[in-house]
Order: sequence, then C-alpha cells, then structure tokens
Amino acid sequence: MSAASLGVFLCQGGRGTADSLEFKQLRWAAEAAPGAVFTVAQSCQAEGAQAIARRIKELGLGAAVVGACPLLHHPGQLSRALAAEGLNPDMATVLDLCARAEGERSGACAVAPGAAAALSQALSSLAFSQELGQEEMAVSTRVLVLGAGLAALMAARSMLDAGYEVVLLSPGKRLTPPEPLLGPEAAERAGELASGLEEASGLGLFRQGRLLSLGGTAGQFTARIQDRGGETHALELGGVVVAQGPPLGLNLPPGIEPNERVISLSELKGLASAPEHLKKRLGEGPLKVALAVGLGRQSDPLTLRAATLAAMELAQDPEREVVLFTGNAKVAGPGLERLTQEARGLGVVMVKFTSGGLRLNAALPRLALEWDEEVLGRVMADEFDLLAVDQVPQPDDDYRGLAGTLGLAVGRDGSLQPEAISALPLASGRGGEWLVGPARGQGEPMRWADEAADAARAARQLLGRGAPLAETGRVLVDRKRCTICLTCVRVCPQGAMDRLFRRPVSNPLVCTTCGTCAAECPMEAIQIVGLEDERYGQEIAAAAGQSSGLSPAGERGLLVLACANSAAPALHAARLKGAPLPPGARLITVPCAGKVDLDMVLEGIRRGFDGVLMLSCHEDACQSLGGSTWAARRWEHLGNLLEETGLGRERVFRSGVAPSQAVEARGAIENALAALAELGPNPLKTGARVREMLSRFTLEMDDTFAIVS
Amino acid sequence: MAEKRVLVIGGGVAGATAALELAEQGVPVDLVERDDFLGGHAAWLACKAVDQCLKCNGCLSEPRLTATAGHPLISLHRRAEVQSLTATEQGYQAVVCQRPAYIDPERCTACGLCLEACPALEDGAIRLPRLAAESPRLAIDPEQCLYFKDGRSTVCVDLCPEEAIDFRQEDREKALEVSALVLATGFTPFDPTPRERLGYGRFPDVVTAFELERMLRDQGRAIRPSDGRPANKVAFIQCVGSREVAGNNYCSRVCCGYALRLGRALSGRQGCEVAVFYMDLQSFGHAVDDFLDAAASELRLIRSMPYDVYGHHQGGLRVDYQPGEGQAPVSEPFDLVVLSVGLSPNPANQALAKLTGAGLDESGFLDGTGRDGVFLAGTALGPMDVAEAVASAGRAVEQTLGYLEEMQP
Repeated sequence: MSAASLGVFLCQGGRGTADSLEFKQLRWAAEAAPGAVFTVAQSCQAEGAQAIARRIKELGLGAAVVGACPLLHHPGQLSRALAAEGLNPDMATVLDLCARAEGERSGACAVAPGAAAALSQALSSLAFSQELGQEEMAVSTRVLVLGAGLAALMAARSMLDAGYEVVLLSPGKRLTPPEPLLGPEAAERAGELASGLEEASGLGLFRQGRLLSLGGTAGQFTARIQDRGGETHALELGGVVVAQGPPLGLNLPPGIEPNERVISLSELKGLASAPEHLKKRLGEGPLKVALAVGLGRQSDPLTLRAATLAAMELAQDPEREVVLFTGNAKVAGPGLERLTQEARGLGVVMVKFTSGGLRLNAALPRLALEWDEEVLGRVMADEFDLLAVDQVPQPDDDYRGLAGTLGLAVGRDGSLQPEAISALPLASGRGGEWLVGPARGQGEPMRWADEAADAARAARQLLGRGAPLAETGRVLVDRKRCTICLTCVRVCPQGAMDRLFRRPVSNPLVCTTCGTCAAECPMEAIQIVGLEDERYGQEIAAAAGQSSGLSPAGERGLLVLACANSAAPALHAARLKGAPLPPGARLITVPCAGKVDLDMVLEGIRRGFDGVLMLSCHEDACQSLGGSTWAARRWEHLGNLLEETGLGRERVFRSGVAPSQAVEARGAIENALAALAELGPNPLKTGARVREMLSRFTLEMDDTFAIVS
Repeated sequence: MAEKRVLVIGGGVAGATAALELAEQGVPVDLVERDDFLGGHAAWLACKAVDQCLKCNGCLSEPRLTATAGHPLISLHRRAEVQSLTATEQGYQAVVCQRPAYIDPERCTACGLCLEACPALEDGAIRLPRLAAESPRLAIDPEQCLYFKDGRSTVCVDLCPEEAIDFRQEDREKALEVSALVLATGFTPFDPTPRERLGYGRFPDVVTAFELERMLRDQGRAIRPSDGRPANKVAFIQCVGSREVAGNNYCSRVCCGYALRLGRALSGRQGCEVAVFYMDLQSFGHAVDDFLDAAASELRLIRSMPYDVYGHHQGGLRVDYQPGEGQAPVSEPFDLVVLSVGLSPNPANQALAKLTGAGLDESGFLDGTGRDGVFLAGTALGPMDVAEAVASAGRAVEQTLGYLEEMQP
C-alpha cells in the first residue's frame, strides 16, 4: 500500500476530547507515521460515517484507519457509507482507541490509556497486511472409513450421502461383527446399513484389510492398503474417518482372574438369551448370578444399559437370583433411569460398591464375593454361581500401530482424541482425519449417528466438491535457510505441513496460521505473510517508543503478548466492562501463543520494556490444538536463558486465560505490573555497559537456541 | 423460489452452529431467537480451568456464536417467535412475530446514560449481551421496564442524547419463505423453588449452578450473595430436578460433569473447601478415571442426598444429611449451597411439536423428525453437553443439505 494514500481519521468523540493531552498524543503518533491525518468531530452514527467516506472519496485515499470506539456501536455503518460512495467497503480499518465503557461512564468519550501506542503499532503493522488471492485446490473426494460395526457403517453411509466416494476398510471379515453391548435395534440397524452399503455404488470395500501407511495432508492423502490376499493398493484420499476402537477386554480389578465362573458380559448375554446353554453350563436348579460393571475402570451408560437388559432377561426366571453390582450407576443415557427402575421391579437387586470394589474370597468353594456397602457402612459377602463383568477398551499393539500409522496418539483408555478441548467433538491431531464413535471412547449409538453425520459435514467444509478455495502462499519457507530438519512437520498442531520433493510446504486447507512452525524452526526459515518477525519487531518498537514517554516514576512498562483466540477477546470484554489496559501495559495480539518466539520477548526487553507477559489459552485448551504447549516449552527455555544473562526469569510472566475470562486476563496484567514495580526498571534502560554486554549475549543466545533445538 | 432458505429456530449453541454451518455451505439462513441476544445457556458458561483446562466445553460456544453474529448469509431475527407454519409449494411459510427493539440500533451509541438513569435497572429493564460481537449493545425488556407497567417512566427517552429510544414501536409480523427447518429450541434449567427443603428462593446463599457459572464469569470468584464475602465452604447438591420418579424421571447427563468441574475450579483457584452430595457420579468417556481420581482427591464426595438446607441464626447455611445407615445425622455449616439443577424440556416443546409434527418423548423432549424438511438439533432432543450439541447440529445440517439436494427444483 502506498503510504501517501493512507488517511488516518481520529474521532474527537463529539464532546471535546480534542483539548486533552491524550488526544494530542494520539495526533502526534498519527503524524509520526506516513499518511494524512484528519480529525472527525464524531465518527459514529450514519452522519459521521458518511463524512469520513466522503472525505476518502474526495482525496482519493487508498486506505483509511479510523480511531474510534468500534466495539460499542454500529458495525457495518462505515462499510455501508463507503459502499454508498462507490468505494471498497473493506478499505477502512476501525481501531478501538476509546476508553468509554459499556454503559458505565455515562456518555463521556475519552481516549484510552495507551491509545497512542496502539495507533503507532497499528500503523506500523499496516504495511505488512497483504491480501492473498484464493485458489482452487485439487483434492480427492474419496474418504477412507476405518472400522466395522455400527459406527463405521454410519460414517460410510453419511459420507456416501454427502456425495463422497467411500473406501471402507474393515479389520475383520464381517461388516457387522458382534457388538455385544448394542441392543437388538442397533444390531438390526447395522445389518440394514451393511446390506445397503454392499449394494451402493461409490463404495470400495476391503475386508480384513490393513492400512500400511498414510502420507500427505488433508485433501491429498496417499494411503497404501493391503488387502486380504496380501496385495498392496495405493489410493489417493481426501479425508479419513476413524471409527475403529481398540479391542475390548474384561474390566477386572487386580485380584480377580477370569475362570469358568467369571465371564464377560457379552458371554453372559449369549447365555441369558439361550436358556439351554445356561443350563448346560451351570446345571439345573436355582441359580445365583452376579453382574458387575465398573469394577476396574469407570463404566458408561452403554454398558449399564446392556448389563441391565441382561439382568432383566435372567430375572425372567423366578428361580434365579440376579444381583447387579455398580460403582457409579451410569444412568445418563436416554430412558436408562426408567429402565433401571423397571429392572428393580422385576426383582433385579442393585448394589453399589465403593471404591474398594468387589473382592473374591478364594478360600470358599463357590464364587464368594465381598464388598464394602457404602450406605450400610460395612463389609457384605455373598456366594454366587456366576459372575459376569463388563468390558472396556484395552488398546493392544495392533491398535497402537494403527494409531501410529494415522499419526495419532492413543490415550490410556484407548481414545484417539487429542487433549485439546477445541478438538471436540471430532477433530484429531491431524487435519482431515475425523474420529467417530469408538475411536473417541465408547459412546452410545445415538451419539455415533451425530458424529458420523458431523464428519460428513466436516468433509464438505474441507473438500467441497473436489475443488475447495484456499488462500495459498501464506506460509513461506525460505529454501536457502531450510535444512529439511522437518521440525515444522513434527510440531504443526494441525498436521498441515506436508513434504513436497522432500521440502516442507504448508497445506492451506488445514493451516490455521498459528505460527508454531515459524517460531519453532531452528533456522528461522519460515515466515507467515502478514505475521512476519519483522512486523512484530516494528510493532514492538512502536509500542516501546510510545511507552517510554509515558512512564512517570514508579510506573513500569509491560509488553503483553496476547493470543487472538483467548486473551485478546477476554481483554476486549474487560475493556467493554470498563476495565481497559492499565497504564504501562502495551498489547500486541498474536495469532496463537505458538507464534511467540524468544526473539519477540527479547526484543521487548531490548526495547526497554520492564517485563513481558504472554497470555495464552490454558494448557489443553489451545484453539489451534497445540500452539500453547509449544509456547510453554519455549517459555521454560526463555527463563533459563534470562537467568544466565543475570536479568532473571522474574521479568517474564505467562498466564492462561479463556475468552470468557475478562476479570482474570485483566488481573494477570495487574499482577505482572505489581511484580515489576517491586523489581524496578529494566537494567537495560539504565546501564550502558550492561546493555552492551547483553546485546552481545543476545547474539549468543540465538546461537545457543539454534543448537539446543 | 430463487434460493432455498432454511429457518433455524433457536440461537443457542446448537442453533447457531447449525445456522453457521449451513451458511458456510452457501445456504442462506433465517435464525429466529426468542431473546434479545444470541447464545442461549451455553454463552453464560464460565471457564473452570485451574492452569490446566478441565474440559468443561464452555469455550466451544464462543467462536461459533461470534462467527454466527457476523455471517453475511445469516439473517438474525432477535426477540422473535414463530407463530405459524404453513406448507407451501417450495416448503414452508413461517410467520414470525417480532417484539420491538425500542432502541434504534443505528442511533444508539451505548453511552450508558439510560443505564444510569433507569429506575428498574436492578430488575433487568435494560440488558447487555454476553457476546462482544453482538450489536446492538443494549436491549429493553418490556417485562421489567416501568414504562410498560404504568406508562409514566420515560426518563431514558427524555435523557437519550441521540433520541434513539422510542416506546411507541409495536410488534411486527414477518413472513419467511423457507425450504426446511432446524428446531434447536434447547432446554430450560430446572426451577428448584418448589423443592422448599433446599432453601432456594428463601436463602440468598442457595444458588443454582447456572447462577454460579454467571458469578464466576462476571466476577471471577464465588461469593456469598448475602454479604458479598468470599465463599470458603461450598456444598454442591446433585440431581436437583433429575432422577425423580415423580418428576424429571431421567438423568440430566451434564450436572455431575459441571458440578465436579466447578468444585475443582473453586478449590483450585480460591482454596474453597468443597463437598459434593451425589447419588452416582455420571462422568464417563475420555480420561474419566483420571478425572474422577483428581476430583476425589480435591473434593469431598459424599454419597448422600441432603434433606434440609436452612439458614443458621449465627449466619451461614446448614445442610442436614445422613452419612450412612445407622449413623447419626449430620448438620454441617456451609457458606454457599449450589444446586446442580437438571435440564428440563423447554415448555414450548408442546406447541412446537404441534407446529412441526415432531414427536414428544415420555419426558417432554422432542423426539425424531417431524414433517418433511423438519430437523432437530441440540438439547431440544434431550440432555447433552456442548460438544454433543455441536455434533448434533452437524447432523441436522447434513440432513438439511441432503433434503435440499433431493428437493425438486
């Protein structure tokens, strides 16, 4: 953008802020940057917006920055006024420079503390903003569905219905393997889906197939699949649905071993529905059967439903005594509370054990069980003919291998879901791979239907009809600097970094420009257009320049690096509530804490800030899935480096906030400022010798950093 | 009809997600919200992280609601309810009745003079939105505004420097032509007032968990509403309005999850001593064992339902409960008692079911789809958490898109 054609419009707030020192500082800041400066009596309301638009047109300006209070009112009014003048409605950037709180400070327009710095920062970073065109990407419209059984069949059906070609990779021979926890309706539904799919056009089926490898990134995956004959097939894929869970194993605590009298719930279900088998196994006569769910790990509603139905079936015979042991009765499924009431009505005895669980008394010939009765507060014991226990996902080496091939990690409980909350409901740690049903933990069929359809929705969003539009060229890898160490491929939280002719290249379909790759690259070979290191360097300089003139004795300068997904909206909400940034704090918004590298922090200190605070999402709450985790690691490293320089780690602060935490975000800044007031000024500001020493050290630190990474 | 539009009823997280995802697929949407603002119940959830995220799902709604508020393909009809639905050749004509805003959004500068002068502000006569992306910023609630009681109080109208307030506006009816509908009318938090023994409505320090969420969100910590002092000892009572044989005879699915997380947040951030009275802990799914172990180490989990909550003459509250059979009843003091209220069906479900042909289940939630082109999303279907509501909205979107594709042009 040519600087000469930039116009900066400053709102006087209609009520005479023009004479204030703060407004004059704002003018000076604007005049220090290239571009023409105008003051506007009142920028809000249709009249103010029209006046600005007319002025832009008269002077033929190429771009405009309007300093006002855009958060409080009339979004779109300026755009509409510009459009009415025949101008580009998006040509003006409205900056929030106002201190007026929402409804608390009646009517008084006022310039916010730090507004001059914010304006300088915005003007300095304006030169870096760049519109990139959108291009059609060539992607595959074929989706691989991994798994068999109801969830996988639902996912395959949803994808076909959404118009995608489906490759279904079933680990076993049958598309409808026994799913003992599902009721007859669900089994029937699975059967219908399977026969419908077998006849569907657009479905490729591998029974007993194996996924050997999955390369590439979303939209452009390349898979190698081995069929049951041992032949290998190479396939291009747009996306992958993982609907396959780990194998199930008995949910037994230590001390109880399975034997002929300790069986699985699914075995019991088989026996319960076929009385002749039961008789064959246990003989004629009265029977006493115990069912136990949640003995080892916590149970879930799906299991409780299956156990309750099995108990009810057994209790049909008045000769049998049926006891259902639960730790926590997980009745959180539809109609399940009523079902357990019905079971009690049929004579099923329901017993809740405590964390002590059930114990087997091996000294007795029959199956003797002991448990701590919580309500009665004493140990109870009884003898049974049979004990049936529930089953829980238990990942084995095969399943871990599959997860590894997919580029995902398996949790202890078998779920492939990443820890970051923003992945919910079905994102994995790799863009274009979605998790459904048992791959997320056990779940329930009615949720699986939602998840399967939502995966199809996600596929539409990603792949469209095979030529989705994407902004290319946002992430630039400097080929001269890149040593192909592939750190970027390893650290990208979205799995967006691909290798093209061995070199890393970012896939714009899934890249969120969180900047983790740029910050982690040991060669500093990656830049994100609009979010370059140079841009932040200039923004920090602008913030610091305005900061030095504003710091009376005792007031400390704090550079706040705020994540755009969490801290920035939280501070924004605080400002609306009447708590703007405290004096001395300067805010720089980063796309994600993942973008904050050591140079940025050191630059802040070098420029004279007394301290630096990084406000990120909480651990496991990163909106870009993992950027804040990398940032936290870097922060540790930074602390060590600062200790070595003698500056000390006390000058850098890190805090997690959610977008809704206005109070906490503001509080973190105040705490940091209070800590800095104790520490005194940045020694770099006062001692030339120290400054010189440290500038040398900064170079060394860069080297050190390159080596340790 | 040139373009196929979709009507989404309900602007909570499920409705907003459905509207947003449809709009992202190029389908224009009419989003009808009964309230002045978007967001429903999910928009009020507080973050419960203590350094580490506790996975409460609260923050899943914010980005979706913000994107919905500004989407060019979504026409938002606030303060509006669907009056009638008539089948037409292209789908449906929905007649929507919209209450007036009384405040001209083009003129109001949110200066706040009206807020300062309003004699009924405490009662909520003028309201502010939760979402920063929302505009306009102020809304007048005619239920609380004194002008609508006696017609005399016009202090805000007289004071407003922009002449933005006009009480003479009247309800408007709009006819929307749409091809399909998504019902996302959500739930209603159970009202514990009739459970007199629990003291809600009688003692200010007995609050619902939804009220505690708001308190944490607005003030960042739990206080005793009676005197504003920090709440140091807090009791959560589970299953209020859930698992009742004569009443809501179902588990509300989310209360154990939110109560344990709120409890851990209070314990971790404020050092509160927290007791949770429960029947069964309903948490399940990913990493549940670790979560419950952590909860058990930080909170007192008591498997007993209190039978009396009352104010003590020396201040504070007492909670009476029976720790176990044969043991002496305990009367324990607490600063704050939080009722983990369940998710009740929206009372409008009856009328909606009639309007759209959707079924009602035995508890009063909507069940299955109704007439052609009517799809359901979110807690209108029954209790679910935010992530589940989002997935459920995704399914409604897929069903709607499939229906629109199959429709004869």
